[in-house]
Amino acid sequence: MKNQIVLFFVVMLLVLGMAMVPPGQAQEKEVPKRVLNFGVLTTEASDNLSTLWAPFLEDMGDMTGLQVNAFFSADYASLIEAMRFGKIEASWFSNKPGLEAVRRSNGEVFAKATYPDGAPGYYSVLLVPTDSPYKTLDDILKCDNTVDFGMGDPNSTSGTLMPMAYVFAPRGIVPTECFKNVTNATHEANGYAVANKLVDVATNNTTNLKRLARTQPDILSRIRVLWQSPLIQTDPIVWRRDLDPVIKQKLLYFFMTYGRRADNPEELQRQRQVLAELDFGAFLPSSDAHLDPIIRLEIIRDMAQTRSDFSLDEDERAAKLTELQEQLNAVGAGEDEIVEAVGIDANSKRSSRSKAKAVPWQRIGFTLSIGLVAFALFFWSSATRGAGPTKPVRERLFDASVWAIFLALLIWAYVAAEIYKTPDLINNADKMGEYAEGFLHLDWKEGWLYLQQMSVTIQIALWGTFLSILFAIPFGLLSSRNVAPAPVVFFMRRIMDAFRSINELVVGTMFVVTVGLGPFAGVMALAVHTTGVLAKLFSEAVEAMDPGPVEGVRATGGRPIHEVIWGVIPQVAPLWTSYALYRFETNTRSATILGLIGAGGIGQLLFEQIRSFQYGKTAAILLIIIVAVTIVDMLSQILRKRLM
Amino acid sequence: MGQTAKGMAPIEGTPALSVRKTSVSYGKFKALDAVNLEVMPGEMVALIGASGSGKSTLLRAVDGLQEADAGSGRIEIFGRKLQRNGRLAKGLRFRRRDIGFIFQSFNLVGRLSLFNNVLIGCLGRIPTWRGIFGLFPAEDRVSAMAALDRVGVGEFAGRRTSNLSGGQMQRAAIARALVQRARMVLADEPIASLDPVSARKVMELLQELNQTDDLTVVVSLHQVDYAMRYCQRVVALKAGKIIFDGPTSDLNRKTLIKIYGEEYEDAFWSTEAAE
Repeated sequence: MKNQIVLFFVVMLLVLGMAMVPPGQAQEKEVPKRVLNFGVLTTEASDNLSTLWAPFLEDMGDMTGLQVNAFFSADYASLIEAMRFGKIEASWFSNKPGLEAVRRSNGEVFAKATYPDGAPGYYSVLLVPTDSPYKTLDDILKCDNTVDFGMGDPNSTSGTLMPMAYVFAPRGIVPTECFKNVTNATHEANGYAVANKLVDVATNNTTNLKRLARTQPDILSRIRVLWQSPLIQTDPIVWRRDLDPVIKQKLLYFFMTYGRRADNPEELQRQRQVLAELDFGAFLPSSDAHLDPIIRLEIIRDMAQTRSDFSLDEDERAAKLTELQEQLNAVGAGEDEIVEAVGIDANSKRSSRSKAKAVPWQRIGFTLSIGLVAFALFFWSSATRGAGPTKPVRERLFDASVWAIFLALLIWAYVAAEIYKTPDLINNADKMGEYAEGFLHLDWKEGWLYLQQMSVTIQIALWGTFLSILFAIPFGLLSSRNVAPAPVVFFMRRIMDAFRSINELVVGTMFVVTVGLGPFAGVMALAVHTTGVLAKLFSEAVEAMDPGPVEGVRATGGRPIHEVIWGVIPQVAPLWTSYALYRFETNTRSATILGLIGAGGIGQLLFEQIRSFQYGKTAAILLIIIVAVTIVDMLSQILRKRLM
Repeated sequence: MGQTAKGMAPIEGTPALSVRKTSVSYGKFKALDAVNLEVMPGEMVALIGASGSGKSTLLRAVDGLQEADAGSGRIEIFGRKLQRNGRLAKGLRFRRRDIGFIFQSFNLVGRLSLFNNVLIGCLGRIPTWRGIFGLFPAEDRVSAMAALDRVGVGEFAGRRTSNLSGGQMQRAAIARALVQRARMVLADEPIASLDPVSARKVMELLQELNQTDDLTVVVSLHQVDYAMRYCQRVVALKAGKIIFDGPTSDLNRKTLIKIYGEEYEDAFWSTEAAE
């Protein structure tokens, strides 16, 4: 056994050693294609956006001769940071993130999308339920703290910026002081929330309404547009300013000709179909001027805030307003000019499209051969040499195959998990440092708010865990082989597997539809997930108990329910309590993640700060989370020790 | 304890326990092979035999803790069906009420107090909801305390059971059978895990239940000397079959060799008794 362990580590070292060698060198003999990393922002929770983008990105690769790697992210902060550090060279953004990309990530707008009908933009709207008593904007702006308002993500153009700049800021209204509740969510969630009357008013945009008209007309029929904004420009396509000019040229050519010219009408029709699937018309050339209206939006919003900021005295306010006015004048009139694409060779050849993905035979062969070699090595090393009892051959074969399969799986997963990128960790450590630097300037200005929200998070975890215990007790008993009949056990276990394997975020989103945004959705999400986990742990405790006392109760003539209450529960109670406390700790951590779907608590603050690139505040919040989780952890450990 | 449940009066000549042609197999191994046995009310019977001879299986089958082979035999308690053809009878729970079962490993609930463990004995005859919420009637609480005092562990009533000695636990198990108002006690190796002094106390208690409370007692024993000292009748099992059934006085060297083989002396706790 000892030399087997040594051997195992030797093989492990070999596997890790391979991590230093990028793959594909052996696989591709021809000149490697220049790689282009293209980002796609998937904020609109549209169904399988990545599938819809696939044909477009494939065409991009074929027509530019580049190897296009796509990165999909629902969180624009990560896309922007990736672009800042050169991990993404070009990306499709919406306006506000596009502006951030230009400011922070050395980005430049080079093209913009249009709509299939050729429309140059879209509109931000305020939605109310069809039968809502509110008819005009003034109806909801009485500010008597009776209205529930659903705002978009903090950086969303149509969800937050436009309403702020055109509805609230000009009137000097601060939404959180005006309304009973203000929640942040995606357009889709806000649409559902209004349709189901979970909020009175919510922001949205015409793009999402068009999508609803297509996919869920019944939802659309339950909502009414109360207010519509001025035009918002379509989405910008951004590349890094320092991108290789040759690649810039190829990209620009691709974007300007796609859906406009092709070798034959069928091909043109196909390209237009691809664009239509993405809700795009042909692209138009553009520049950073595309973002001017957005910058103007920000200035208008800032001016309004300055006017109503009574912490400034008259002079300061006037000075600041003048400064903002100058900025406003400096911003160009928006992009009305069309930039001509110059110097583009129209004769770039199209490479043939290979539809079917090649089976990676080399990888399969390599994995199998490593597995076989490992099998032989382990089998050979487990032979008994010298004194000592001989190990049966069957056992040796079994052990060797287990280790060999494990190794083969590691190697198989090597490419998909991108372990070959390990050297990047060291090579780009300085970038990580640069990114982390932002975290060093702790910002405690809103510290009291963080503490309050942290306590909300703990309260969410408390109720989430409590509800899950209530359900896990019967479900756990019913999934124990020594308590419930086999078919019931099988059925219950599959249900619990499902509860457990669905991510809290997914469950949370389901509950947002029924109970609206806020902590209760988080409680329910935690409860469902934790029920699955605890039921499994509880049933394992029950299956490991001593059957004697249960038989003792049975022998007195008690009913099965008595056997459970007097024979099972007293035996497993300490273990169950320990598991429940442990899950409470875990849930305190998980509850912070639920902020992502607007479930309230510290997590929501956390993600708002990350998305607004407020790393000082993010760090302060993280610190509070760490301290709180540690305290919960220590307390529950003390309790658990006493129980055992 | 002299109270008799409604409709439960023993019919004249009805055996307390009747086992007919009952077989139990674990896979291919036959633990019981067409066993016939009758025990009359008020008897105290010792069940002896080597390990694996089927003593435990027989007792467990009589309490319905073990199902007999499909289609085999019939077991009756005080004239009422408990299992037949390998299927447990419908009123099994009510038959069990009449049987106090004493286990070798006590089978008390370690984290409950001794008092609560003894109260579990009345679960079979109080309303179900009372049992669920642990609302035991006052008279049962009194009788539980009395039973604990009687077996000599009353002073430990409030102690957590797992903190007590084996002898104390086994006596509490007997108290549980008392609170249960059992009419028959089946004891499966009740003294196998006990020290000699505790073992004697437990055997004396079983004898007392038999003589003063008129309970039928069937006790399986590993040591032949205990069987000879406390019981009038001995039933010996070998390989799932009854090979001896008679008064204790009929046990001699020849029958013992038949039961245990040439090393029959190992079946005695003290060597003098084997002489």
